[in-house]
Amino acid sequence: MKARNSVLAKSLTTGLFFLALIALWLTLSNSTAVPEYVLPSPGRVLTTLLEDKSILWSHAEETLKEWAVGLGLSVILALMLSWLAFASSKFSAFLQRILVVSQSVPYLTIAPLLLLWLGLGAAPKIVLILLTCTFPVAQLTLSGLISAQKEFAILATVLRLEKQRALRLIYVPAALPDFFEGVKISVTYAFVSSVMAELIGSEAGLGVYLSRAQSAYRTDRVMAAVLLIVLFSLLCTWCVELISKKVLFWRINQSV
Amino acid sequence: MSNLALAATLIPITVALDWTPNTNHIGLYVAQAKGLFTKQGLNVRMVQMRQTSTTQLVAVEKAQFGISFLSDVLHARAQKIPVVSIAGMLPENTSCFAWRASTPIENVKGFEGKRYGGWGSPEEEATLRYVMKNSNADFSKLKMVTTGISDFLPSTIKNADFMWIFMGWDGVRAQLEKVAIKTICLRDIDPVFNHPSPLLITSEGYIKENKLLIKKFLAATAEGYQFAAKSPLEAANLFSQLVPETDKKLVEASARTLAPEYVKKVPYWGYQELAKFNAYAKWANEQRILDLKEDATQFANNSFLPSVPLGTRP
Repeated sequence: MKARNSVLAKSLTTGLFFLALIALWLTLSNSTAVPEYVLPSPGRVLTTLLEDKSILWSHAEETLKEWAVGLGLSVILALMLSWLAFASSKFSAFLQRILVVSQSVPYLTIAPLLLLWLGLGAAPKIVLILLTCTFPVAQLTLSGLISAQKEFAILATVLRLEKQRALRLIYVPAALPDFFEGVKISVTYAFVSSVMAELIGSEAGLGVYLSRAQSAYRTDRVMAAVLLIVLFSLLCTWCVELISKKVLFWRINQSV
Repeated sequence: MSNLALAATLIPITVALDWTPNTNHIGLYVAQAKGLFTKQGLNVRMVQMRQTSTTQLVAVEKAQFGISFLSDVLHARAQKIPVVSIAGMLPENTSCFAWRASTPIENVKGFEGKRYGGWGSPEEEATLRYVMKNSNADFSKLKMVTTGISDFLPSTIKNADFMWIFMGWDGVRAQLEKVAIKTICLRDIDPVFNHPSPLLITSEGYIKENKLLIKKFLAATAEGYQFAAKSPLEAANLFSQLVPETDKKLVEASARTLAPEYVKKVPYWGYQELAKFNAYAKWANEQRILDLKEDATQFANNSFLPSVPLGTRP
């Protein structure tokens, strides 16, 4: 009962926050001092969202394709990397350095180069997703595996499990919550990365819609696209949470 | 299925734009919408660019054609990047310095003490320095602010006093928003700035292998521009069908403003006056923003253009 109350309180706070935000938005956009190309009203943005839904959808399809392929490959790559790093401490040290480097690159400046190297199709977008999204999954999975090993190594010895079996039966399940945390971060990162790459050069995608609207001063369209991106990110995070709860059935009473 | 079969026999062509699609590109979109490219056996896709150098993409042939600018082409050539301009999309420079009428600027002298909002290129500084010097204005009293890729109306609310804009796009937009603006246009300041802009470019490597293809591509494009010059409203409609994300009213007003510009004072669409290439290169060299030793006229080529004067086509 207590847990339920706290959940209720949490959603109430979030709800109030968004209500306040919308109220502020309404007040500002109604003021005559703010022209519509600076801040359109929430109503205007919703109307635009509905009016443009087929155009938006055709662009979203392109972005979603890049997102799905990029994220899928990121997760596979991250799992391979963390497995290798877990097996070899030398590789682990190497990987740590590479991951740090991969996160310190300013991607806004790298993206134009990716276009130059890989052309104007989906490839540069997928590579950008790989660069931004492999890190959180690999890092969290690896640290999950390592802390599981610290915690349960004695158990494995007692049960006389060889390393591979211990990995499969104990460490991997114990590291799954960390893996899902990584995926949860990456699903939104991946979406933002593909939109960003589309902004820089593309034929279709939400980034294309955004930039075209922006250069025509259609701020209502810009906000509509942003709204769509936010909604999609929320939906994705929620889906990952749902899946992780199903998979981690034994943790049902623990807060994730 | 027949569409797919048709597409398979067409030659794929990628055009990298200089920015998001706008009325500078209208002829390309008219040609696309009216199937003029298909008629020439080409399957053309237009890819929009922001920040990425279209010139480099064309040089490495990731795109066969690109939209660029004279200064960009000259800088590229100075770096031995092998691009060639094959058409001037607009024969004159339609860009202007612009400010809100409420800002107290009357002439170039009035730039003193004001904030110029730009994207931070050496051209902007050199141009302003030169223009102000010639008007006996003190360039050191001008404040250069980098507003990046932001647009004229939002930027001039707070961040900048005047900017460098395309009359046919930002200027028209201000009119539609009923914001009174004042301008000084580059082509009226000094003939050295009045060169074709933007330019349609390709690479030397592509020219070597595909002369006929380039002619076909330009034939369709020229027809598109001739159509836009004669029927701006219909052209705007075709454009908006392919690019519904921009603003229909803006495109219509812009197409009407630019219709007399597409073939202004040139024998046929796309024609580039080679002397203007040299004049600008000489100027840029003198301003020390360019280090180009070669003759700049060799970087422009009119020979792929269909030399059909306006109005003689049925």
